[in-house]
Amino acid sequence: MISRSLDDHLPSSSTAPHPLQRNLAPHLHPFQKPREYTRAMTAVKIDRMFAKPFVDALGGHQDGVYCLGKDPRRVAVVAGGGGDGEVIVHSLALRRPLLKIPNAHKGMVGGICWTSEAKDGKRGMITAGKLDGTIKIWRSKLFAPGLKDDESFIGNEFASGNRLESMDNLDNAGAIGENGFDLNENEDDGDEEVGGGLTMDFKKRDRLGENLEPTMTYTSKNGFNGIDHHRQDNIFSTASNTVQIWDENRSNPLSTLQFGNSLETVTKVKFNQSETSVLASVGNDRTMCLYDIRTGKAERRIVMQFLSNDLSWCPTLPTTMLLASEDHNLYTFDIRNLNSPSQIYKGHVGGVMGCDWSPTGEEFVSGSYDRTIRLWNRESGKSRDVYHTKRMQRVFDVTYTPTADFVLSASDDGNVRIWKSNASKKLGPVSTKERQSIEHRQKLIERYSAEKGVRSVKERRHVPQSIHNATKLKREMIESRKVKEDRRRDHSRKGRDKPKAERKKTVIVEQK
Amino acid sequence: MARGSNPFSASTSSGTKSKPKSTAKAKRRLDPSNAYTYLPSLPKHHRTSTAQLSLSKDERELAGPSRRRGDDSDDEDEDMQARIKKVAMMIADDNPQAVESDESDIDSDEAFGSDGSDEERWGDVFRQLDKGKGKKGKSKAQEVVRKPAKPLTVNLDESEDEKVSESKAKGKKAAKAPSPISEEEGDDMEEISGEDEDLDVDSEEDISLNGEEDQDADEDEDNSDEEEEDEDEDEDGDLDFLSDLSDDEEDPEDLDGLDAFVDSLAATDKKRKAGEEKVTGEAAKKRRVLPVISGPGLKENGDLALKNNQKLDLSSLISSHPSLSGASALLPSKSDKKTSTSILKQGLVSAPLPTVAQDRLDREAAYEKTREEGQKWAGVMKRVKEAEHLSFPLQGDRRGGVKSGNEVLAGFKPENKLESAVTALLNKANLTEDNLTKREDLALEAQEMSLEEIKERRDALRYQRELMFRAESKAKRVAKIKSKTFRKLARKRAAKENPGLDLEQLEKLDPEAAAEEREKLEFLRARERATLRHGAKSGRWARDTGGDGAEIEDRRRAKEEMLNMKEKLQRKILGQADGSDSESDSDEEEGDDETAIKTRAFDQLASLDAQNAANEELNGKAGKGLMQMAFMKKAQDREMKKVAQEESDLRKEIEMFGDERESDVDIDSDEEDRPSMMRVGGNEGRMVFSGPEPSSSTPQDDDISEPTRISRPSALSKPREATPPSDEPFADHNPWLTNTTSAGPSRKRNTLVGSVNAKAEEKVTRAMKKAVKGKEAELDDEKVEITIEGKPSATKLNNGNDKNEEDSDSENEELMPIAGKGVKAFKQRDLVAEAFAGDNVVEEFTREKERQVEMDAPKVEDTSLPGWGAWGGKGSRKNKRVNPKFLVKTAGIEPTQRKDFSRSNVIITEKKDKKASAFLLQDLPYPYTSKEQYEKSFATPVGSEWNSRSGFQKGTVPRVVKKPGAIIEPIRRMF
Repeated sequence: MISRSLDDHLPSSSTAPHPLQRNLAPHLHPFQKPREYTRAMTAVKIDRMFAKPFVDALGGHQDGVYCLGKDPRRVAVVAGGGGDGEVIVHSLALRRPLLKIPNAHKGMVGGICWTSEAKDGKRGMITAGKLDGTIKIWRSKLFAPGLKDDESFIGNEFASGNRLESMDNLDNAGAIGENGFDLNENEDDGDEEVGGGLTMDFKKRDRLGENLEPTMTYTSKNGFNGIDHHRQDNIFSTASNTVQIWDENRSNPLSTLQFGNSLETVTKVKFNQSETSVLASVGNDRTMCLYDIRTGKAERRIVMQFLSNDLSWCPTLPTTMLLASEDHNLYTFDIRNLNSPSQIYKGHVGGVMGCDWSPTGEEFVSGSYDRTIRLWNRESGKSRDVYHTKRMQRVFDVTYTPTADFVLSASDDGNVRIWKSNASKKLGPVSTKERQSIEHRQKLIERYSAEKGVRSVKERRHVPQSIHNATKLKREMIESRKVKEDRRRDHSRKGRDKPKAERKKTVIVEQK
Repeated sequence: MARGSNPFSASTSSGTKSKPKSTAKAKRRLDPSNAYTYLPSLPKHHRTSTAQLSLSKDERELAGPSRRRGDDSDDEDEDMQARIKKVAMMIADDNPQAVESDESDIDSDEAFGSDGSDEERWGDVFRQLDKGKGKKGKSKAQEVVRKPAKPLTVNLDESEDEKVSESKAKGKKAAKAPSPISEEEGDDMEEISGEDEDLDVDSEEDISLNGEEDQDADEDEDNSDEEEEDEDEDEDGDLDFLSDLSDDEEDPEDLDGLDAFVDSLAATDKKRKAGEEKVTGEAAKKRRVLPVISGPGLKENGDLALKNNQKLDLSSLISSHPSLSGASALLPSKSDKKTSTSILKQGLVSAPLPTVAQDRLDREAAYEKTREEGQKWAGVMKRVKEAEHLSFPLQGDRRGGVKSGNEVLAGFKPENKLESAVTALLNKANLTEDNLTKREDLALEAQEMSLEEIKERRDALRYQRELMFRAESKAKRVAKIKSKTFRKLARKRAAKENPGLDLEQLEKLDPEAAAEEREKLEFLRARERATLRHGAKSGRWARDTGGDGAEIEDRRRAKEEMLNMKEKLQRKILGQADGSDSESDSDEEEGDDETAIKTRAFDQLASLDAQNAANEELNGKAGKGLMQMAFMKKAQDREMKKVAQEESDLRKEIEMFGDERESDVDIDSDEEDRPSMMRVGGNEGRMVFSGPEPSSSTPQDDDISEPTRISRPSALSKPREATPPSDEPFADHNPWLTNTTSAGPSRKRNTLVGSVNAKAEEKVTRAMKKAVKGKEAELDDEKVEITIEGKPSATKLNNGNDKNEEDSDSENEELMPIAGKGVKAFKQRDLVAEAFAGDNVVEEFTREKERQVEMDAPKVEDTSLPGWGAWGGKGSRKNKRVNPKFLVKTAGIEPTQRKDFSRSNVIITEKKDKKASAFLLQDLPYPYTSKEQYEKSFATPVGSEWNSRSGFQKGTVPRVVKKPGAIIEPIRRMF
């Protein structure tokens, strides 16, 4: 009679690991390397097979979307600014707009950012008009459905202790639509309703959006090309022909920062998230300029070969800054040493229009005029992945979601697209066993990625014909340029013009 | 100092002053902008030639200390003179101050003689001096010393700049008047003063004054620097000064011929003194003369006027009048003057920088600041970059997470009924936190103990604890001694109960036990053999002693003797070793004797007592007030008493144990009674009772003389060990008479020596046997060589006797079949050869390898065709060299380069494996820096087949781990 004890085959408790029924003696498991190699090969193929990065496109814009403003305090809320002055606040979780503000600005929207606080259950959004020269602060419960009971948090909630409650609320607000309050209960409140009822129909919602008035409007002679909010304080900065610092409660700028007497157009300005008083801007005069609101000075400026379209501060390495350049490349700079970039990222075949660091600080995303989005590892100069779809036109802005799971792109075609930041990642719950096997596969790929077979599968990307051709053409051009330079060098006096390192070419001058 | 180099200094003259020395003179004369140059309209010829001469010399001399030192050889005589002069002055009035003042006089005189421009030059010179040498102006202390001299100055008609120097200049002028040499002397003095800092203080004052005129703006800044540097250099300067003085003292002795100078100098010195006291007559005259000598008074006045613009102040006014000379001491000193001038200067604020430049500076400063702030992140960033795993959120919530108990308590508010009821009760009973703390505070106050008192008390408690511990440890030790002793004694007793029968008797009674016993003995012997390397039985000498019958007898005796000796020595060694560690626990062999065990136990107890006594003594001395306290004493006594009781109990018990013994050890028990009685005495008692023992055994006498307490037990125990054998075994037991049987001792102590003897005897016999056998073996071999058939009888005989020998023999036989076995072995061999006939595996292998090597070796093939490309016919020589183009070279691997070159038994193929090469990398992947490093990364497999569960999990953790759906915040400033 065969008798077996269940104890040998079942875990002792629900959380305990399953008993091992395997002999670990090494001689019973020969050919370790070949087997692992085969597994790595399989893993990388599986990885490519399941790579489906595109999640959804959020439509509704009448014109192209030229700027994105993600709410850094919430998981899944992003606002898109259209070319016709329309601002739409999207819910990524619901994949539909929370609120449309059709005539937020006259003409293009220059930039969108979110305030650092929520009051009376209202979340504040700041938009800047590129042509009409106004900045508007919008506060509405509709921005934060699910933010219950008029809870509020203040700007420096990171520093203060009350973060837990308010942050959790904000995290969830807008993420789970079902939590939204029923509009009908509070219909007599007027246009706005408590909690931003998600159950209300589109027409009503649209009407609310149309009727929404900004709580604050700032005007200026110059249009604003960019806007960014301080991490904690009620301060935001705008980019026009100068960089201006504004207080949310004052109608005039706190200060105007400019390097010397330069009045060239500043295209983007960004606050450092860790060293919060430092900010940087890029301008049309091919410059990147560094400011500090403590000293109230433009501190240093570098002039580069090409103009930069966007910049982003690394969230984990506070001195690192990423520039998206018109010369198809991206550059990381360390602000302590601005005379050369610390890394050059090459891959795009069109000017890079937008870039954003992943909240982990290990990766970043860039969107280009060549209609692609690329994902990069910080340490590697080649892109890790490239996303594109047939219908996606020129990408003007990209951003990571605060959870680092998704990437959003705003493009000419009037859509905000949601992409997975890891193309083959499974969405939804993953069991422990599954997770372990995924991790195992990733490890194998990582380990064998230098090997030819694995590498070729891993790095192979299909790109549209146009991109492919452009890449080829670009390579040829660069190659021929190099050859020409070599020849010229060969036929000129020795040591007259030495080959210059790529990094040294980037920055023309560092202005003090 | 770079006084003149500051672009913001307002004075125009500074620019010219900072110019190189060589051109300075000319420029000064020509440049109208220079306030100190002579106006061209003024006649130059007014200057006396001597003055000019002296000036130029000064300039040359003072251009730089290094240069001057270089020129020392040139100016040697001048130097001499100067020194002589100095000495003379010192002799004249042995007051170093006077000497200094003299020098200063000389300085000022030169300045005087050479007009304002000279002063300026001096300033320049000294500035350069300062620059060149780093010996800058006055130290504060020096200034303080100098100040009193100033009031003496009376400059009615001279520049207030010169006032200090001028006042002293009177003497100088006097000196100048008598002889033209004095001019030179003055120069020389200058030299010296330049060299010795202390000596040139006065001249330095000049400098400082000039400096003030010229670079007032810088003065304030420079002052601090100067002072610092001065402080550094002061010591050196002082030393120099001293050494110079000593030099000077020696010099005059050597140079007697210069008495004339000395005399004249003495005279001048007197004059100087007189001049200092009454400031009118001569000086006034000379001053009147001066304009004539050095230039027109107009010019001087102009000079002064210019200077006065900058420098005129109260002190100068006061000092200008003799009646007010005393008052100037009350005035603020030079440093104050400086501030005042700087205030004056403040009127001339430098023009603000152009905004562009100013902005630029601001920006740079601001950027530096930001960069510094950024630099503070360096550590964090490094950690992030180098982290093997990043788990987000990286930084925990500062206030979030688990609250501490205090936090919870502080925020506690009764919410429900029960809680409020409980709180009410607690409040009633005054058991709330606040009340408790209050009460505690009150209690503390009530005690009215100062910090010292508390400390003292704590010390007392600690001391008591320690004492307790002492008692405790002693009790422990006693217990240990007790248990050990009893254990040993019990063992002995048990052994005695069933006394060790002779092996023979035992064999009769219980053959198995006997066999066991024998085995044990064998084991002991084997061990002994193993440990005794120089045993007489196994040495070469022993082997060689296989001779005739008569000889054998002699040698046997010799061996016997040797063994005896060895035995004795060994015993001695063991005894000493035993003595050295009386407390060692594992001395079972020595402590075989009951008495020995007992004595050891007693000794240990005694030593414990002694130790305690010593401790107590110490306590008595050290315990001051505290140990004399009654409660302390009581506690201690109580503890100690307890231990003592235990100890005495133990003694008694041990004795009781001894009482049951046989009569032959009665003496011991008697002896052991004594210590129990003389317990208080401790060691002394022990000494007495062990007295009679050593007499019985003389060889161990020297051991007793050892003074240490520890060695005593050994001294006691050894005789006991040694004596009994002297009674019995030596008398009736002759080991040499019995051959093979070991002496079966009736008692253990007998067996000790008996067995040793037996062992020795056995050794000898075995050695002899072996010797004989060795001989026989040789014979045997010989026999084998000759006669193949038949086995030697000798071996046969031996086989029966010795097992070991047989073994070794049999082994030998196996190894070399020819040796003993004869035909059989040969047959076997033949059979094997037959079976594997023609099976030349090795040869084939080598051939194969050679072929392989040849194939892999690089080849050069000659493809040239004979006759082609060469001359033929008669007389043509064949070209030995082949045209290299006809040589076809095939790449390969040199035989010596092969991996199997040094391994004859393997062939390692050197062919490239195409399939495997597909998996090889051309370049090293990025993060790795060496091939080994990269290969190492593959050393441990990832899969779960090759890892434990946890290992697998650990090995596959991704670099970035984040909570699903949680917002990742940017890194936060934590510093």
